[in-house]
Amino acid sequence: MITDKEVIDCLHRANPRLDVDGLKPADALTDLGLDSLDRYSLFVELQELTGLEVPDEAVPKLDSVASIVDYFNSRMG
Amino acid sequence: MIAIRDIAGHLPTGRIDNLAQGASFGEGEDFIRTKLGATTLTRLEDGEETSDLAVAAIEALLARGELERTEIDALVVVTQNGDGDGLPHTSAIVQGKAALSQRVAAFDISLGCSGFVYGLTALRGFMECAGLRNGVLVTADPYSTIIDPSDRVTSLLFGDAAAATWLSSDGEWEIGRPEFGTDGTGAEHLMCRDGRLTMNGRQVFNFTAMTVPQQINTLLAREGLQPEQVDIYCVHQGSAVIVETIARRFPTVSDRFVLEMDQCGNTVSSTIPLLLQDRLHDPDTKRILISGFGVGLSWASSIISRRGSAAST
Repeated sequence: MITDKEVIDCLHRANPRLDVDGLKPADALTDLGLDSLDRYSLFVELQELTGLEVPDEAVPKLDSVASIVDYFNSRMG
Repeated sequence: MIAIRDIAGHLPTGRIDNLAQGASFGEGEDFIRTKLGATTLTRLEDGEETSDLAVAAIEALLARGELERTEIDALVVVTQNGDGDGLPHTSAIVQGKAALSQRVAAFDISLGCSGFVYGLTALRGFMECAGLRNGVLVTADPYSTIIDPSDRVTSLLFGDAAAATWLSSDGEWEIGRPEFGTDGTGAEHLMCRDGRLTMNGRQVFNFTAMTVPQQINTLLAREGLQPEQVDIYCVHQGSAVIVETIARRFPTVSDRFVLEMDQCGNTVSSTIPLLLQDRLHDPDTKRILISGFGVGLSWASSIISRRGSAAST
């Protein structure tokens, strides 16, 4: 199972310049300034953490920490 | 032993302002500069062909005054976008345009971004088997000939260039045994269809991030080296973010990963030799790791070492 904090840590590693302080689980990552390449990097970090690859079609729907946690935990559970 | 003697690169004169191009796709300057990594993309001029790029790189090499064109025994052109429809092979056309000896062995290698690393070993092996003294490995793969200008993913990334690498029995940089990789199940992620390049950016990024660091680690372990024992890492300049993503996986030496693509873009198989051309002449540099990866999917990594140094075999 992954946690909100682990996802935020992955986000920070994907782009250390993103301001993740105060990021709430339901906040839209697009509003944070996440661009397409940040998104690729984020899912690489998550894949390295969990061993799970996210298919292309699922990526656009995963635009918040909460949705990412739910998605991974439903596949890992 | 055949080794690298020198490298000369060539950028065509055409230029695209990638900041302006990015704006037309709704991309900001920060994205272009820091994520893609190129504010300028090089382009062939109208009427210029792949063979012209290749010849220009060879002439740049010859202009350094140490190699005579009559001394070239072998010519290999790494390209997947050669002259015309690919028949005849572009290296034959280059032989003619560059007025090389008719005794030269000339053939093409169909590889993309992994092509320089594969090509070094292919030409070295060919030369050693055939008893040849001087060979030139040319990378010349102008993707501008197949890019759809309305495709944001590829239009903002690729530049045209060529490089000519001189391999010689008197070469100074030994070519180490590479690690290779091929995965054709990923072929569709970077493919030319109906004369147009298509790329699934995410899948290519994923492949690179998950595969290349692993291969670099395998190579280092096989050679009994720690990352700190490599002076610089010249990996394919796929994009700024991919170079940084690979570098982050080597935290103790991440500052040794070269990023230098701002003025040309991703020049396919020429990115690595363009990085090497000056760095080979730095006397403090003894061991360089090179890694190329991309279309195929294909990837290869090796270590080149200055002959006579503690780094050489």
